[in-house]
Amino acid sequence: VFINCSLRRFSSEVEKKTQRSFSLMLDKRFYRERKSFLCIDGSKIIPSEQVNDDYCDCEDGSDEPGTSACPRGRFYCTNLGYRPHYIPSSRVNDGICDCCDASDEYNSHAHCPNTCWNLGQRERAYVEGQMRTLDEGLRLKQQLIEEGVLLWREKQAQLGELQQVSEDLQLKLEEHRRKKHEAERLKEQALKALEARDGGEGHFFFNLLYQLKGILNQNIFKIFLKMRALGLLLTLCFGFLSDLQKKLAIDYGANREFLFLNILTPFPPDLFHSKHIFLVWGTWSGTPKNQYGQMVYENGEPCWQGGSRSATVTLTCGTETALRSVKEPSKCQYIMDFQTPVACQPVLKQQGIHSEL
Amino acid sequence: MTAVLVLWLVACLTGTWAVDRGNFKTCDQSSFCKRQRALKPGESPYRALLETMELTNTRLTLQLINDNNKVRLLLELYRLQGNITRVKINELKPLKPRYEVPDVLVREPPTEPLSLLSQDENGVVLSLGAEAQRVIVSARPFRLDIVEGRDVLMSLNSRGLLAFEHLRMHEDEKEDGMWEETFKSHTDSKPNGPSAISLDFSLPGVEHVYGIPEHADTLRLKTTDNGDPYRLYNLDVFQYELYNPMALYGAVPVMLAHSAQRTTGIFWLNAAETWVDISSNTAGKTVFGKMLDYVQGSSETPQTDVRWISESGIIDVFLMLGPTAKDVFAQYASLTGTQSFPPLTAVGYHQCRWNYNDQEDVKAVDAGFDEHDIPYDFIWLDIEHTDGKRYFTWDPHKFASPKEMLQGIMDKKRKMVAIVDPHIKVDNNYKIHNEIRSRGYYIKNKDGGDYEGWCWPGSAGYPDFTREDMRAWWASMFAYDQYEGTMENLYTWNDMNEPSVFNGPEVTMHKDAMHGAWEHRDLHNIYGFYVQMATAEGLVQRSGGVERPFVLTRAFFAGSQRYGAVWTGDNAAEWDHLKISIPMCLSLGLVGISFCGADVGGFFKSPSAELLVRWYQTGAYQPFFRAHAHLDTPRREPWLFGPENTALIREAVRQRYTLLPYWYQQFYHAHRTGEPIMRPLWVEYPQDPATFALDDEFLIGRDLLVHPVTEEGSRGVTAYLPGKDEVWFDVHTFQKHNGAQNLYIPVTMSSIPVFQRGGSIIPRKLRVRRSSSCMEHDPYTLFVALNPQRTAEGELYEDDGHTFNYEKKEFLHRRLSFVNNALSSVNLAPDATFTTQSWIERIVLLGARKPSRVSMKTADGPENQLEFDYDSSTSVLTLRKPGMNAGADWTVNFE
Repeated sequence: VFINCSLRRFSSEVEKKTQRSFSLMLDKRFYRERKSFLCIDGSKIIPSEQVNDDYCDCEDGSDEPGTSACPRGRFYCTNLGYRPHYIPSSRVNDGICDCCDASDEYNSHAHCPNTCWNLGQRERAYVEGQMRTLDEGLRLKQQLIEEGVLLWREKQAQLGELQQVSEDLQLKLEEHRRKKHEAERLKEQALKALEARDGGEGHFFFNLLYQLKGILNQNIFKIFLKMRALGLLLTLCFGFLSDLQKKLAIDYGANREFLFLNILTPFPPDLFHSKHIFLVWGTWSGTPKNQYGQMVYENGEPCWQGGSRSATVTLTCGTETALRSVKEPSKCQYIMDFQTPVACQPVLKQQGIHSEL
Repeated sequence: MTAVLVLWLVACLTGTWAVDRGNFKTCDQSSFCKRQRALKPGESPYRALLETMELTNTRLTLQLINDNNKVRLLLELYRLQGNITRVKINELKPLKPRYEVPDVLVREPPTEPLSLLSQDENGVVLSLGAEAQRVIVSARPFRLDIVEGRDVLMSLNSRGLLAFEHLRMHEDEKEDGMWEETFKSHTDSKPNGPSAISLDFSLPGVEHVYGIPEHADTLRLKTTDNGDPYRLYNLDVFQYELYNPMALYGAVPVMLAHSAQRTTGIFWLNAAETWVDISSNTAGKTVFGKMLDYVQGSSETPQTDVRWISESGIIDVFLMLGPTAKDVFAQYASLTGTQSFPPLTAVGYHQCRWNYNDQEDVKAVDAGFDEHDIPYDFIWLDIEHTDGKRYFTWDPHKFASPKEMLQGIMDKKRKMVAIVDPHIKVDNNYKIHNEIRSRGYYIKNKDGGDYEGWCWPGSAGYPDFTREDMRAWWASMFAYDQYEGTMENLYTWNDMNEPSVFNGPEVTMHKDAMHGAWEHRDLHNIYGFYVQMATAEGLVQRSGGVERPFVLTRAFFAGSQRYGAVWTGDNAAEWDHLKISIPMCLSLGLVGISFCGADVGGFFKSPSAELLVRWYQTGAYQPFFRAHAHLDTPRREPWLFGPENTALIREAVRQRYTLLPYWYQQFYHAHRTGEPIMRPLWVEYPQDPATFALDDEFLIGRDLLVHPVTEEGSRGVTAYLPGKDEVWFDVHTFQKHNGAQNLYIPVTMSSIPVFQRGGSIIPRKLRVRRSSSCMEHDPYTLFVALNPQRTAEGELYEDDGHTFNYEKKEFLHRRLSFVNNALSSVNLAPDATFTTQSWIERIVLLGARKPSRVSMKTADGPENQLEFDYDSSTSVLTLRKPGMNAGADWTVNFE
């Protein structure tokens, strides 16, 4: 980044401003006291008096780093004690204090105090707090990752158990199906026998066969009842199984650190003005660098006058796992801020350390 | 066979069978309209009783008699200053007084002498002033013709459709609908019986008529023979349809008639429900048919016939006789006043939504504009900001500290608008309601109790804004100590003031509701006008008469231009709604209401990114520039459609801000003259028939021509550039085009086809900042576009931008002119004083030659040589930093 922008006006018209410009650092590459100035984009050479003379000569705005003359220009706030940054040239002398060192309002009616030191203090305190949160958060996250490993195993075990149970049930069901088949075959034979002796052997035998048929029927019915019970159990078991499989199919992060969140139904009903609103898990929607920084819920409960409810949840680093805010900027489209230690990332720490403060 | 097909097509296209009128009446369902429309032309029962004629210096009176029932009418005829003739007709002896619309005329119009030229038993001829104009009063049947030289300008009752339903006793007649009528579940008790009035006007030589807003229709009014008349009845129409004559939120009963020879106007001063029929002897003819007539020499003179029908009141009509459009604007302005001069900030960009949810939301949207470097001046709060739809209050949770919020906005030099609607929640714990009720200020129902209807707050009362004492009280409620939580950067929006009554007939008030002695029927269309009047007065008063108000209204009437801005109501995010915004605002401008805009993006539904961008590009070049969206739509702040669309919207808004000096000068001009700001091309090119029906492009003032892109997926537009001897410069590329041609302009998503007229000078401020106030002291760039004669002319106006001090001559007004190779600035208002910090930073000459030397001379300084840059490929000459103060006298010489 060029430091060129720390230069202010150095037009000869105003002595004060000239002094100001020289009191600040100059980048000799661009603003040497020469007779001419080359626009940084190389498009034009202008006399050096025309640098910062409140008229835009360079297409790229590079000749007016200290005035509002160029539409594409930028002004550099040095902001000693705080963080330096650029503002659009259009905010120079517009009567609104933008740089905390008040340098953008050198020729306006705005009375801008220098607030850099206070801001810096506050920022430093904030960053320290953040660092503490981050440390604690990372510690908690490690715990959660470890717990996650156990939880994952537990869930896997559950899955295995459920699969075993369902297999057993299926086997049993199969066995009963066979039994029922057998019983039905017996009954069939008995009936055939009954029909073959039609009118011949007399009542006693007929009655015997008739009773046998009754017994066989009862037997079949018993087997049928057992099968129904088994079927119900199996349905239940499949339900549990598919729920669990659905749960386990979700991406819980590189270390399965999000496993402890009940991602499929994470939000208590009282969030939505005590109405229960169903939201359906969609996907992670963070940036490529921080894929797990945001989640989207879609196809929720239908909204009044069409559409369905949806939510975008941003995850931020914190020492507790809690929903910090819910907003509804458009009807039935929620924006939530969710705080949790698992959103803490070591990379934040590096950024913190590298802060220029 | 082909002819049959064409006929069938025409019948389909012009038929009204496709229009779903839903909750709103057709003429057939409105008993007076049906009765009046059933009258046949050529059977007028009215006869002028010439022996009753009295002529004083300023007034002619004459009795008319209806030969069928012997009821007598009194005709009054006045010649008004400025080429206007006023005709009033009332019952000679009505059973009780009939309503005459007060408060619309800015004063009792000054008269001019009338003189009698000749008289016999068939009629009377009077002289109308100096311009060889005469009025011929024919006795049997009664008829008025206004004649200039050998031309008939206008005839009244020429088709014999004058009708005056005299007030009568109930026993007299009991025809259906006269004493009671029912529409849907609503019964109108009509205790006064029938009271309609009607009159026809013939306009010889006229094929084009305009005006009578508000309708979602083309600029050029259509004939109504095959359908309903145009209806004027202020209504809250849910999801209105386009291209039909149905009534909308406002009504201005003014029509303009134009031909290549002349422009005239008719102002029908009546505030009751009104229907306007238009027919034409050439309307059915195709271009080919007209050509055939011309070749065969069989052409009759084209003529348009117009007929006005109103439910009650009197006939009080102002015939504005031109002869030019600008004369008609001046004539109408002399009657009803001009566009109020808004604070400069109101001409910037407005960001609205139903609703910004809370203070935090407001702050975030405000910050979003800065983050994306898009300027804006106003953020708006719709009804949800109130405590349970109790206007003048704030939601205690969402807007707990409104002053803090307003201060935050003020710190950015921006403003806010909060809505105040005229329906007042019936709630004994609500101060405003208690006050209005105890003072007896509510409109009464037919039985004498306070009228109650349903609106946003549930059960609501409607203050009687027709009462002056009520309006004064209402105005006092805007004082900072009354309207808590307000500051000087909070302005007001009056919505639902038709008035909208959710459970009323046609979503409005029962006609038998009472305003003192008058029925709501008599004055319905003027209710909204009074609401805005009282609100604007409140904003003026709270500042001790110092600050200019800004009030937006949805309902309006003739004269509403005096109180603020108007928008086209609840439109939709559809391409056709974008297109119709042009003729709708053009029609309003023609009848004095210049400060017009449509909801950018469309109110209902959700726009595609393309539609939203095109709407910003169009809205940036319309007088009132506000984005707005329905509660149920997804958010659509300009940065929510990806960086490319954000950049396109930013660019459109920035173009608006660079042109603010020009816009402001246009508002000043409109305020002084009554001329529209956004105007149809025919106003400036009155003899070019190619311009007469154009409504997909328009002019801002005289000098900027805009043809917005309003088609989806458009790759090009064809703009008509008027003026045989004119040239036009593309304001983006500076390319020169000849006038009187259809120019095809290829477009991309970033294109906004805008042209500057050769011969004009337009001041801009190119340092676009966060808001208009931030740009106050910025320097100007003058864009001088030379015409083929190598001359150009323009103006520069500046004042403090927000007070009434301009009325005390605190402004600067310069004439800029380029002639004989010299550009100079002279004072147009030597008796005015205003000191500006702004200076001229750049002068750009379009269509220039390369000079050898450019020098500048100010009144008190030495001659300075100026640096310049000449681009021979575009013929653009740019003068670098001439540096003179914008208020100074100076001359720049080009050698």
